[in-house]
Amino acid sequence: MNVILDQARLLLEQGRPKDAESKIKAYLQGDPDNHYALSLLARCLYDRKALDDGISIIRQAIRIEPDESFYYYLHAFGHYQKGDYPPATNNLSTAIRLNPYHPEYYGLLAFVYLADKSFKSALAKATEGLAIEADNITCLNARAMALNKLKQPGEAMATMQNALARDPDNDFTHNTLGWTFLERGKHREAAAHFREALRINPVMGSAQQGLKEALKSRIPPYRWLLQYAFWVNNQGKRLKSAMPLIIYISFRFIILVFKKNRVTEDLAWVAAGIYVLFVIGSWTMNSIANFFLLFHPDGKYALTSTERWSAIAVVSTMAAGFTLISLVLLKDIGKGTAYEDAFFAIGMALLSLALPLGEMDYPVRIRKTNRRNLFSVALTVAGLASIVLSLLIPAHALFILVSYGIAFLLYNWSGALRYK
Amino acid sequence: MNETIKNLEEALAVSPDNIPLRLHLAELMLAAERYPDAAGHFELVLQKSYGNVKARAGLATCYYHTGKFSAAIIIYEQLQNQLSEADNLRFVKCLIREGSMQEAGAVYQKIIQANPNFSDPDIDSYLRVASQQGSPADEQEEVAGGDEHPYFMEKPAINFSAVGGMQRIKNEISLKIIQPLKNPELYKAFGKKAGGGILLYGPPGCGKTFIARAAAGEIAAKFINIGLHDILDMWIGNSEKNLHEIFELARQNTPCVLFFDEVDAMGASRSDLKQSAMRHVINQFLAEMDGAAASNEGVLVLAATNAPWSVDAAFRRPGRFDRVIFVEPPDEKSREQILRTALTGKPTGEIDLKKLVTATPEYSGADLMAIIDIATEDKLTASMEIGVIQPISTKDLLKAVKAHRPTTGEWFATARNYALYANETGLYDDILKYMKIKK
Repeated sequence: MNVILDQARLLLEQGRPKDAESKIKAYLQGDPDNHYALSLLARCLYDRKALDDGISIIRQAIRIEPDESFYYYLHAFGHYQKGDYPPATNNLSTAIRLNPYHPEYYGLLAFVYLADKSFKSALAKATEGLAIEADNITCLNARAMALNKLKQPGEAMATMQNALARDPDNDFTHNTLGWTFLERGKHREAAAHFREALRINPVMGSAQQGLKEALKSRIPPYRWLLQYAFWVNNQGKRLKSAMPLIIYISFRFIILVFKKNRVTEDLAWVAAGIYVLFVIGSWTMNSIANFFLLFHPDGKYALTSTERWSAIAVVSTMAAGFTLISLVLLKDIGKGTAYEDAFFAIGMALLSLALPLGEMDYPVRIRKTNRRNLFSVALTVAGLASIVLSLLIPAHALFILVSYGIAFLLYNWSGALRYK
Repeated sequence: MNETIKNLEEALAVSPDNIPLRLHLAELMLAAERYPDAAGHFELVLQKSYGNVKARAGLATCYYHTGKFSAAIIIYEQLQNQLSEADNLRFVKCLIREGSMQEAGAVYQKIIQANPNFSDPDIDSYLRVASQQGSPADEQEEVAGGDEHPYFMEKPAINFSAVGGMQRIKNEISLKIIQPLKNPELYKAFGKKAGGGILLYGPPGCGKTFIARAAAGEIAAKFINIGLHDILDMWIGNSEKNLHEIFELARQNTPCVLFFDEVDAMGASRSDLKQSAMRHVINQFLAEMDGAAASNEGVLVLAATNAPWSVDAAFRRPGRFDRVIFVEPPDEKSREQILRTALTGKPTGEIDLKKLVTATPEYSGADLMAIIDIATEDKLTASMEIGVIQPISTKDLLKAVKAHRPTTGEWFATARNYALYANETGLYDDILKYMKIKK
């Protein structure tokens, strides 16, 4: 093999993709059709998340050498990382057709099926891979994850223990175990495995996220919402997107039934309260849990700057809103003054600010930012302005705050637009 | 010379199209070791007078001195027979640094053919190192395989006084490797054994190589710099033998500082290494450091890495790299000194260094140099447009600060994770302290 390419491969294996990339690019100037060099370059590009460029390069390698199964595997890997599952599946099928004895091809295909929620296919491919190499870590992990999704936790756990027994220092396995425990609501066990994964590989993003979720799951409402999120995530795409509507209609139906009967009439309010708490919780619980994490010795460092500031902003406005509303309801503050109605509305406005503040990026930016951030900043500014104006012109407070309320509703309805 | 350069710069400002004048200025700058400035002027000459041999050779010399060996080689190859002996010599060194040994040998032969009495105190001896040490059979093998690995040995002209700030690091290096050489009796009296090595780690561009070179200068020792390219060669080629040769070369030239740059490329965690060849290199390195076969007295081993987490734990055992020092980005005092030194000789107005220092926390030495480069280029363009020299101002430098963000951020983002999650041995305590994280 060429010395430069050999060096580039070594650099890539050592986790120095930038050094490897410059060597390969220099080499390709003299030999632009070297498919092996192109495949190495694609790996470097994947490493720095330039997935489209990597895919384009590996396509070139395939055009030059269409019989190399590994290039199809690399092509599939790029698509899998991008979330394009059909081309990933096709490329892996070609790779397996060209070389049916490579367990990693089956392992990746199993992960593609897992991501595409085809859990039975995932289990089948992982099992096929394990038939070739019984201790293949990728296939063992994929099998355990598929079994867990197929509600066979006992067997999933046994597979994971098997994988750990073969390679106790495998970050990937510890991370998978962490997520498996988390999905089952066992946050302590999950945290222990995420910590172990991070001890072995401190830059593993999935384990960092997992540890954060496990620590936040110590708060029961957050744990329940997380369980709900896991459950929704395991459903089909259609059911997943229809879920908010299904829940809303279900609650409306329950409330209607309760209201029709005098005995259960009061329960309608309880049901409505639960629904409102559920909606507010789903909007703000993440920030509230992050706020509690700020006081945890590990958790405070696990949070990103945006998560930290978002938590502080959300909890502060919610606390201010609740305090003001409580004072109005319990202590009658502002009664008999020009602010009689304004204080309650201001309290509500403060509460509502938790939503845009929880979605904003920190530090706050209005230039070179996305639509979600821009909409959130705009609503926050509108909210704060309406509060100040209401205090300055209490006679028009209701009009100002109702106008803001309409903006708030529009913001909620523009959800899909915001995320485009 | 600075006065002449200044006068020429003023003259050029009046007549910017005067090619001979600009060429003269570039050559003077080259002689004054102001390589980036000289390169800028050579490039301008070549824009107006394409193919100018003097300018091309001068530009190649600038590239050589700034470590851009590939770029220098391209120019030298184009000039071929028009090169002076000194240029050819630099050409050889560039080729060696880039690992093109056969070509280096061919050019070297040409120099000797043209001047049989030619002798270069550095290159000549190093190119013969391999053959002096090996047996005749080995020599045959080396010629056949083309596996000669000469290593540059130099005597650095700088010492610790050239290093701004970094007092803690200087003290540690002094205590560990300089004082034992200067006061051997004292160390003997306290039963303190000299030797072992120091591993410097930290974000790129913060002066690890510079301080290692200065350490060698401090004790007037020779300095051998083994870079990433040499390390990679060890893995692929005749690895163990090459490594032994390096240590032998150092042992024969004591006192000598052996500096392994980017040592993580060699000591990548052994659990990651599947190939047995890689394990052999590591084991050989450890054996050489332990001095199992020969004494390492007078050989000081320094290593640097941007990725201490990739360095094999075996490297850090007593007697090996038992001091691991964090080279942090320059503090305020160091930044001020770096900026002052880098601005010396440039046309500047009143510069508020304090303001600049405040605006550049977490900037590495390389980042500060980049800022000055950006400001200089801007002012050079403006001077050419107006025809009058425009001095660099604080405002220009602050503008450059905004344009160039510190490159240390990415390193700290990774280092933070290691310090938070994999600090069982306390190896990354210094990072935690620097980042003000209390665990």
